[in-house]
Amino acid sequence: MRTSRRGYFFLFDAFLALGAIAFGIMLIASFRSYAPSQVQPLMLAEDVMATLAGNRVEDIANTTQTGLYVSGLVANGNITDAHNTLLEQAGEFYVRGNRALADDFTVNVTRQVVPPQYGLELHINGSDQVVVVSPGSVAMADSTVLVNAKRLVSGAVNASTMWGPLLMEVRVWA
Amino acid sequence: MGMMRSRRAMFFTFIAILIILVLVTGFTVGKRQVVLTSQMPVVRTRAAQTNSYVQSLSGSLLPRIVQTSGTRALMAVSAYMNSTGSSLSDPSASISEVMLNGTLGGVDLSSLGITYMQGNTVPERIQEVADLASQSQRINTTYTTGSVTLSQDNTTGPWRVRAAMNVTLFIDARLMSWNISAPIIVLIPLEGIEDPYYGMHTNDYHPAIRRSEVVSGNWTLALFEAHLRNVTYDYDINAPSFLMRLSNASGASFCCGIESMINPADYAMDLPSTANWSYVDHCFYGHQCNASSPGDKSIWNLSGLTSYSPGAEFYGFILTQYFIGKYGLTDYVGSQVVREP
Repeated sequence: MRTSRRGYFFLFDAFLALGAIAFGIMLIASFRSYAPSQVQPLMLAEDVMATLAGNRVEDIANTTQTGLYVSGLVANGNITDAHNTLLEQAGEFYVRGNRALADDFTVNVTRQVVPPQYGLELHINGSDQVVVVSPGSVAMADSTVLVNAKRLVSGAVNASTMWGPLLMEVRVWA
Repeated sequence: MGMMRSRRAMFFTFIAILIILVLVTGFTVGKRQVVLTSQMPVVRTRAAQTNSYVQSLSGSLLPRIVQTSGTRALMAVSAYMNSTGSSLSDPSASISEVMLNGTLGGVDLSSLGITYMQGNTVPERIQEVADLASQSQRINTTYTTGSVTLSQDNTTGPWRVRAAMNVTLFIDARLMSWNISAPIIVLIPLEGIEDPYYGMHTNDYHPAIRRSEVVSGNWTLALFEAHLRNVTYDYDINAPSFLMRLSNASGASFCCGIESMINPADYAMDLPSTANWSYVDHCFYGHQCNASSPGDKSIWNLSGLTSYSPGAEFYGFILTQYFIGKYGLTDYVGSQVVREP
């Protein structure tokens, strides 16, 4: 009877020891938990690019702040083709030489979808114009992760004059 | 006795470790790996970027290329017809040749001073995209283009032309490749393109196609005068479509017929004051007007509009009963001029 109780004791002891070891491993592993994942910035870069390339100016509801801003650009004639995607529209502003508007437009339609801890830039035509959408919590030079998503865009003026193709690149860092 | 207890303790400890190993192994083996924790494999990243390129190529860049090249080809063909006075026997094939080669009947259009297609043929534009993709993303693009087919029907309506072509693409991203056939179908707006039908029949007069602002047939004399002065176009089931105009056809297109009024003030030419045809472009130049349709074909001048002073606005302007009814001018019917032959 006493022998059997000792058996239970040793069994419990073994579980306890393994639990302590597992806890220790988890504790050590948790010291690295602040290291940013490469996947999340990459997903963010691709998602922002997909959002810019997949949504048209006319798709943006004019009830939101962004929508009102875009509607204002349509109303004052800065945007002439509401069928443009957001990325094409930024490219068109750039091609027309209105870089300030390209910058302002990109920031307004993108800022709300970028978590503040991530830095995000849109590079238009290589790096001829760089639009800083979010500075992020760390500077790009100090970041441990820097990823990008690229896309080629083109557009047309009066359906007959094509501009582009331009290389558009979203860079995300953390 | 003590030795035996020690062995039992070791035995129980061994059993406990074994059970834990079985449990851990049971939860681990056979589970799918979800790559979200630390890093995404390079191959997957490369595939995502190339796939994005393929999507934008077939979904956005190629349609844009075909549309802009098609628009310029229509402008080039119109300019060619205006300058030579010749028509196209097969408009779709001719425009396809212009879009793909920048030539018409084997003749380089730029050698005739028509420069719309310089750097704007479909292959030239696709090559620009391919070069940029190669330079910026190290993706090699090779392609072959089929011929372009142009058409108009109820879907396009009279104010647009459908251009369809097939592009076969081979995208090589080194680690992977795509081999796709992309059918590109776009609608080309016609407004703003010069009407070659006028160019073939006049001495250097070729108005651009502009749609009349009058909708639902709510015409008044004032609106009709503006329609005449501005040479705007209106849909009519008895008029030829834009594509028919390219081959100098004056027949009817039920879906897509367009017509404009001839304003004698716009011509540096003598128009007879007693022509036998309505001053509607396809009637006047086609020497027929609703020829196959039964009904009253008497021709009338319009009081308050028609002038008989040479050089004056609306000089000799006449219409058949059909157009007088269509444009709401029955209250302004003057005297009968002649009967259409």
